[in-house]
Amino acid sequence: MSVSAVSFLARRYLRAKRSFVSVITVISILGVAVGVLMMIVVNAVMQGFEGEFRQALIGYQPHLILKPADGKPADPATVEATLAKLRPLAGIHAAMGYAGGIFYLEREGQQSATELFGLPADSAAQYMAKVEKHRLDGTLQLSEGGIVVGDYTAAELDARPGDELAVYASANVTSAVKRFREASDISDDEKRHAAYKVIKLRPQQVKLLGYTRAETAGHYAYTTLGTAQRIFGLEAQFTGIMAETTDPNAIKALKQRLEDQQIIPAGWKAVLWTDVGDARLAAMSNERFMMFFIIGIIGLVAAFAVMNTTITVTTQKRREIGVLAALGARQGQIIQIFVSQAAVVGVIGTFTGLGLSALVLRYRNDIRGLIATLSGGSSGEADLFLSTIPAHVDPAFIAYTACGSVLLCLAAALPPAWLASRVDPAVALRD
Amino acid sequence: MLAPLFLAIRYLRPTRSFISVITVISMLGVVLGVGVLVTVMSVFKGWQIEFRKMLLGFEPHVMVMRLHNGGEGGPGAPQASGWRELREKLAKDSRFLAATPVAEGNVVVENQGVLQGMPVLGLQPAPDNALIQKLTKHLKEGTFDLDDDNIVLTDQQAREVGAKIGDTIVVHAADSVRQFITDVREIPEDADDAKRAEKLDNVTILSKDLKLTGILRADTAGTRGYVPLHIAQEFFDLEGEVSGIELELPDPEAAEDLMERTYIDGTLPPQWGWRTWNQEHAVMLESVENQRVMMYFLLLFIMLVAAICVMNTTITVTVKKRREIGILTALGTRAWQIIAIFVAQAGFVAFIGVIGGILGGFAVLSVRNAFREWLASAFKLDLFPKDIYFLSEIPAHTDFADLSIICSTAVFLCLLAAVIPSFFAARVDPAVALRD
Repeated sequence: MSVSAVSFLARRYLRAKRSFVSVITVISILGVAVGVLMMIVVNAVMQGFEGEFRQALIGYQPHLILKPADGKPADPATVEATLAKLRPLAGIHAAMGYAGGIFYLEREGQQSATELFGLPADSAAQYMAKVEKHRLDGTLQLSEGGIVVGDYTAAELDARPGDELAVYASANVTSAVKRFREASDISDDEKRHAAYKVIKLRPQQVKLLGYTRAETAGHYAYTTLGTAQRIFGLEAQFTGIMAETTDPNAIKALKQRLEDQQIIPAGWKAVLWTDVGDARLAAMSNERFMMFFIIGIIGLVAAFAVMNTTITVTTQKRREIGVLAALGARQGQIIQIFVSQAAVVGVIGTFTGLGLSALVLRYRNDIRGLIATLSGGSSGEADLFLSTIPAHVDPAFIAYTACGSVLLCLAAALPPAWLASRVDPAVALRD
Repeated sequence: MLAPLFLAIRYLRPTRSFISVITVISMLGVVLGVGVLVTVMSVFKGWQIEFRKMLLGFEPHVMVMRLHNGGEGGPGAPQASGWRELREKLAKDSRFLAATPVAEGNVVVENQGVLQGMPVLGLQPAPDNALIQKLTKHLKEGTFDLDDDNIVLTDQQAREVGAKIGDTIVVHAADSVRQFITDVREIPEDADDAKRAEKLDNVTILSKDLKLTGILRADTAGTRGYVPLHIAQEFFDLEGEVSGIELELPDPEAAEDLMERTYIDGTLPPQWGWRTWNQEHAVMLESVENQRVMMYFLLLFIMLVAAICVMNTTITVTVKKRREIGILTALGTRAWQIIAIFVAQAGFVAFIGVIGGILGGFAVLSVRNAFREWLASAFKLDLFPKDIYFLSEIPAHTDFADLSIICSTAVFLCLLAAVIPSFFAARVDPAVALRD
C-alpha cells in the first residue's frame, strides 16, 4: 500500500456518507480553533499591555543614569573620563553629562515642583527627539534660559509657552526653611535680623518653551545644561551622566558589563529605567505565564475531542482495518491513516483559530465597546492610561502555538490509532 | 419516565463491557474544566478577600465629614461644627463600635536636602481608640504612642527620610511651607536688610520636632503616618475642629448601607457627609473585581471546549443507536423521551465530571503552596511575587456562590451540547432508520 493510499483513506474517512463522522470531525476542528484563538488573543493582549508599559517607561525614563551615590555634584574631570570610556561601548547609543534635581517653579503665586534635567547643547536635540512625540504645545527645542515641563506642571502654574517662570532648587527652599527656623528662635532682634540675611531662595527667571503630556512623558522638566547649573548653583559641575542605550531591554546586562569593566567611578551608583517599574514588569510576565498555562488546558481539552473522534472512527472502521491488515497493510500504515486524519483536523483547526484571532485582534476595541454596552457599564479600563486595548503579535509565539496545537492533535490520535492497528484481522472480520 | 434513564445508563456501556472510552474522555474534559475553574477562582477570591482584609486592617471603616457649604468663611475654613456632640452621639450608638475624631492632611519632612510631602492622620491618643488598636497590630518597631509630641511612620516613610526609632524629625505643615515660599518671594531679594528683616518677622512657618516612636509595616498598614490629634489640628489650621469622625463598624462590608440608614434616620445631621473605606479604595477594588470577571470569562472557554467533547460523544452514541431509536419510535416512544435518554446520559457525564472537577480542584488547592515552592526551586519562577501581592502564601477561598455558578454552568453547557444532536436523532423516521 503506497503513501497515497494512506492519505486517500484518511481523506475518505473524513467524508460524509458515514454522515456523523464528518460532523464530529467538524466539531473537533471547532475545539482546536477555540483553543488556538484564546491562546493567541490572550497572549497578544497581555504582551501588548506589557509592551505598552515598557514602551511608556523607555519613552521618557532616561535609560541609564550614573551619579555619585551621596548626591554630591560630580566634578567635570570624572564625568569627562567616564564619558570617554562609556561612549565607545557597544550598546551605548549616546551619553552625556547632565545637571538636574528637584526644583520649584512659581508663577504669579502658583507653585509647583518637579524633577529637572539640564542637557548639554550637543546632545539635547537628540534626547528631546525621544520626548517630541509627547509634545502638546510650544517647542521642545531647548535654548538657554528656556524650560520644557509636563502639562500637569504647566496647569498647576497656569502657564503657557512664552510665560516667564521663577524657578529655584529645592535645596534652596530646604535651607531657607531651616535657616528661618533657626533665625526665628533667636530672641535678640539684632542677631535675628542678621541671621535673616542668608534666607534667600535665589530664584532664576526662565521662559516656558513648551509642555509635554505628563501621562506618557513623565513629570520631568528639561532645560539646557547651563541653565540647570545656574539653578542648582553647580557652576561648571555636573549632577551625573545620562546614557541612552540601543537595546533598553538589555539594560541589566549592560549594567553588569559596566561593573565588570569598572567604568562606574568609585562611590557612584547606576539608576536604570527599569527601577521605576521593575516589580510591575516582573508581575506582568508572571501573569502572562500563568495565563499561558491555563489556556494550555483549553488546548488539552480540545485534544480530548480529537481523541474521541479518532476513537469513534477507529471503532467504526474496525472491519475495514481488519480487511486492510489481512491484505498486508503494516501496522505503521494503519496508524498513519488515523494520525494523518487527526493532522487534518489539527491543521484546519489551527488555521481557523489563527484566522479568528486575527479578526478578534483587529476588531478588539469594537468588541470591547460592544461588551461594555451590553453589560451596561464601563469595562473598567477606561480610566487607565491605555484607552484602547493594546496588542502585540509575536510571530514566534504564533509559530509555537500552531506547532503545539498540531502536535497535540497528533499525540491525541496516536493511542487510539495504535490500539486499532493491533487488531487481529481474523477477529475483526469475524465480528 | 424511568425508561429514558434506564437506556441512558445502558448506552454508557455500548459493548456492555465497561463504560465507553469516549464517555470517559468527555468526562475528563469536564473534570479539567471544572477543576481549573474551581482552583483559579478560589485563588482569585482568596486574594480579593486578603486584599479587602488588608485595607480594613488600617483604613478607617467610615469617615464622617462636615460638608463645606462654601458660605461663611469660604470653603475650607473651619466651621463650628459641633463635632464633639456628634461624636458622643455616634459613640453611644450601638451600630458603631467606636467613633474617634481625626484630622488629615499633608506634612513636609526634609529628606537629603529635598522637602518631601507625606500624608498623615491626626489621632486622639486614648486607650480605647479603635483605630490605634487596629494599627498597633502592624507595628514593626517601637510603640504606637501619640501621648507626647510623637510621630508614627511606616517603614517606607522612615526609610525615605532616613529616620530610626527615637530620632527627632522636624515636621512642617505642608501648607505653611507653601505660604512661607510665597511670603519670602514677595520680599524683593535685593531690598535692604532692615526692610527684609521687618517683613520676615511677620512670616511664620509651622513646624514641630516630633519623636519617631513607632514604625509600621507599609505592606499592610498603608501609606500614611500618624501624629497626635492636637498637632494635626494646629498643622492643618483647624482651630479645634477636626477633619472628620472616624467610625469602626462591626460589619465593614455593609458600611454603605449602614451610613445610608444613619443618614435617613437622622442620626447623622444633614450637613455631614461620609466616605467609606471601599469608596476610598474604589479604583483598586474595582480593578481586582474586573480581573476576576475577566478570568471567569476566559476559563469558561475551557468549559465550552469540554462541552464540544460531550457533544461529540452524544453524536457518536446517537448514530450508533440509530436502529434502536427507530425501534423505540416505532413502539410509540415520544420525541422528548428519546431526547431525554441522551440528555440524561450527558447529565451523567456532567455530574461525574463536576464531582471529579471539584475534588481535583480542592486537591490542587491543598498543595498550592508546596507546588509554588517546587516551581520556585525547580524553575526559579515565582508565581506570586511578594512585593506585588504582599502575601507570603497563595490565598484561597472557595465561595459557595462561585462553586454553584461553576457547577451549574458546566452542567448547563453539557446538557445543551447533548440536546442538539439528540434532537436530530429523535426526528428520525422509524421506517428509514429500520430499513438501513
